[in-house]
Amino acid sequence: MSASSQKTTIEFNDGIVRMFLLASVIWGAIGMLVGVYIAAELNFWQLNHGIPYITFSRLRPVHTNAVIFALVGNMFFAGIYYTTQRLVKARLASNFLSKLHFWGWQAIILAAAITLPMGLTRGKEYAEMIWPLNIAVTVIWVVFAVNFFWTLKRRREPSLYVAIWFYIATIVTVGMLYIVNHLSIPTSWTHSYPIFGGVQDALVQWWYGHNAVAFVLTTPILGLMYYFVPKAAERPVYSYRLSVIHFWSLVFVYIWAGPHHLLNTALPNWLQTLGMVFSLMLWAPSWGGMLNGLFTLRGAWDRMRADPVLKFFAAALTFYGMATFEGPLLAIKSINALGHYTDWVIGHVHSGTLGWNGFMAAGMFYYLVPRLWNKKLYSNTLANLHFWIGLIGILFYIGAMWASGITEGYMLNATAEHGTVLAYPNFIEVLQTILPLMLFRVIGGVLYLSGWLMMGYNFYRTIRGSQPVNGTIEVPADEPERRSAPIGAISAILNPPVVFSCLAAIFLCAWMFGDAFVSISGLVGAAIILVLAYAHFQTRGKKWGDWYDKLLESAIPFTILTFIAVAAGGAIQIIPTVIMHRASNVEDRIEVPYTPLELAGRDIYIREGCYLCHSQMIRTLVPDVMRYGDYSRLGESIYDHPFQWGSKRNGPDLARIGGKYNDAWHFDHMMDPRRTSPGSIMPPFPWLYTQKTDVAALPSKIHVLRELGVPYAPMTPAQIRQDVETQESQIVAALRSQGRYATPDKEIIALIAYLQKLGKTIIIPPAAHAVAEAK
Amino acid sequence: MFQRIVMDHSVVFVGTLAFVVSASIYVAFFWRAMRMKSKQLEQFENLPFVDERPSERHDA
Repeated sequence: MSASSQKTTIEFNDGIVRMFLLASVIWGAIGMLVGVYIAAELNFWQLNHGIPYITFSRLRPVHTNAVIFALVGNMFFAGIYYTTQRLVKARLASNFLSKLHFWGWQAIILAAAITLPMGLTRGKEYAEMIWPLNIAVTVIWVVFAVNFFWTLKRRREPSLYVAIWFYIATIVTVGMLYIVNHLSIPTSWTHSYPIFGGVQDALVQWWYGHNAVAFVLTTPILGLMYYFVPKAAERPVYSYRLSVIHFWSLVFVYIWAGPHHLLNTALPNWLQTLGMVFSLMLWAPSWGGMLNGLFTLRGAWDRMRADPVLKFFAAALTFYGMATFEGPLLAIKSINALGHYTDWVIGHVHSGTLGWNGFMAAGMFYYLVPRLWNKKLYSNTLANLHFWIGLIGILFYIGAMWASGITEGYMLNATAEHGTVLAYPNFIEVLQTILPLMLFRVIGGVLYLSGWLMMGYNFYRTIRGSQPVNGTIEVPADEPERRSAPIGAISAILNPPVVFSCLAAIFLCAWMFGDAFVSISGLVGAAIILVLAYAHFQTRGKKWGDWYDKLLESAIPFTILTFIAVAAGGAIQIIPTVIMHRASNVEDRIEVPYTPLELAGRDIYIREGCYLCHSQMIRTLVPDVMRYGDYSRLGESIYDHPFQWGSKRNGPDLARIGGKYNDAWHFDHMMDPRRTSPGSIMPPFPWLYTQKTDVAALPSKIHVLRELGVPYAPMTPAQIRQDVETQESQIVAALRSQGRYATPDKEIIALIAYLQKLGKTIIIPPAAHAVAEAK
Repeated sequence: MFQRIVMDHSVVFVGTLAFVVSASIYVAFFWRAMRMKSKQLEQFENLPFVDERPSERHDA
């Protein structure tokens, strides 16, 4: 037998796939159960029971983190490890790294499930985990990346299938986003302040938050879609060409769309415009991908009736299409004015998570379990029932949220008397109107969870008594032949297409951002580069094509270029914002730094997750201004680490709540919200009246904030304590005069101090040049 | 620096530029995808089907 015909057998590491799969099913059930419970808490405030650990605002991050990182995270780790081994014909590079990845990830999830209900949070959505856990996530992500790329290095298939491209984009982009958005300075072992504040923090947070959707909930699942849908349909993807366009378009464009979460706010207008336009442009690749997936099922429709896998995939792709149509729609400023801060966004998110992620997960699991345990699925009927009950659950959920959100938006924005007064000035009236719809959400959630539990039972019965098997594959014993020499890391960058693209981008940035001479030079330079690129392409176009073909067999250069593509979008948005929008450049109004007691109150506000129901951002919209007061200026939150603009209003905006009510009102409201606001759905916070304010932590916190640029005068710990005691006694005296009695060292006093501070800023006189310009 | 983008009267070209940039990316990769040869496409799209031993597959 010749050397070339000798074969060797590779046994895949499917054990790790089984572990991640089961973890996803279990954590998914827990995450959804918490979701159903917190949804019920919004309808029945009594379910909060006055217990801090199960209060809505502390449990909500448990739900979001569980479904994003535990359900979907474990699901795509399982899928990526299963498909990568088969697509590159190599066993996972390291058993140790695989196990470290699995157990490390589960430990992080468990730690989050413990710390978040304790109120240990960074106060940023989907980025709530405290800094030691952030470091752990980064380390484990690096372990995953090393294991993945090491496997690619050992691959026996030179070409990289499009699914692998999506995995690479996921790994590099999530790493970048996570690190930048979690840059913080610790004040203790469990607390830190993010290095960005105010508008900078808002932009970085939603650059991360939006792309958590893009690169955690979308790109890895699309990679799985490009593997599992063709496998389930037993035919190749409808159009590989379309998948190529889908990948590059999505990777280049998605990263820019983050600012659409901050439309009509104090975010600079150019960023809002960028976010809106790039979001609209996302329609094309998203629908291209969705249609590519659906058309792959052509010819397999007859099997849809009996095959739950195909059913789940078809429905998941349909929900992907719906969610990616709705997302850009909500990113249009005028539609966002109606939908933002309402349940519409919750409906939109859940059509993606329940429909796209949940159903893709279920389809993939139903495909994998019989193969990984070498046993027929216990019950196809139960799987089909799961599909239908889950589908009805989703429709209940998103239908209710659409109706609720649009009702909420219209009522909150409605005016009467020729637009001079609000038609529904009482926020609670609006809330009471949508409560029945919110109840339908709970029912939908229960149905969806029931389906998921059926799947768990089905798997339990399938796996019980079965023998796990690992897939194997025969490959030639010698090294695979490459069609061409791979590209090195340096030549990945120093080649005509990349050099011309980078130069054009640099000149266009100079044109966009620069003043007079720089701007004109940028425009001229960009024009020259385009002409040169065209000329080069005309004379040596084949080189461009050859380079691209080589790229598809070169994992590291591919990764570097993908990183450049995603990093460019973030850099162009974030760098000018960080440089320009600092306190020293702020006009009109600027925030007064919090007193030590107010700062302690603010940290209590963040600990309790108040930002999850109350925004601190009055938008540049007439109904917002009529309801809450003058619109929020960029400088009014410039020292806020983290920013607290919020993303959902289950209660009214608090940007100008300071001074609106007296201290006694806040005292009563936090003890029993219905005493001051009949019909309120807010939970009571009785522990604030017994727990003492953590004054000892303030020196460290103030020190860190000073390092971050907040203009605190130097204070000794004794001075801080003195300042706290003085303000506490003033509030206690005011409360006593209003017939309320409290001891000064309790947390409620600090929280009242913070709430009464909100909206109190310094008005900056117009600069001399601005006055001259106005004249 | 950055004065132009901060001034609202300049913001209109940001939207146009965003459109042009994303449209250029779409066109470039559309062109690249169209240039892919049939043999190359066939090889890529069949990668998921170069699979493990049939005897160890268990269809649901």
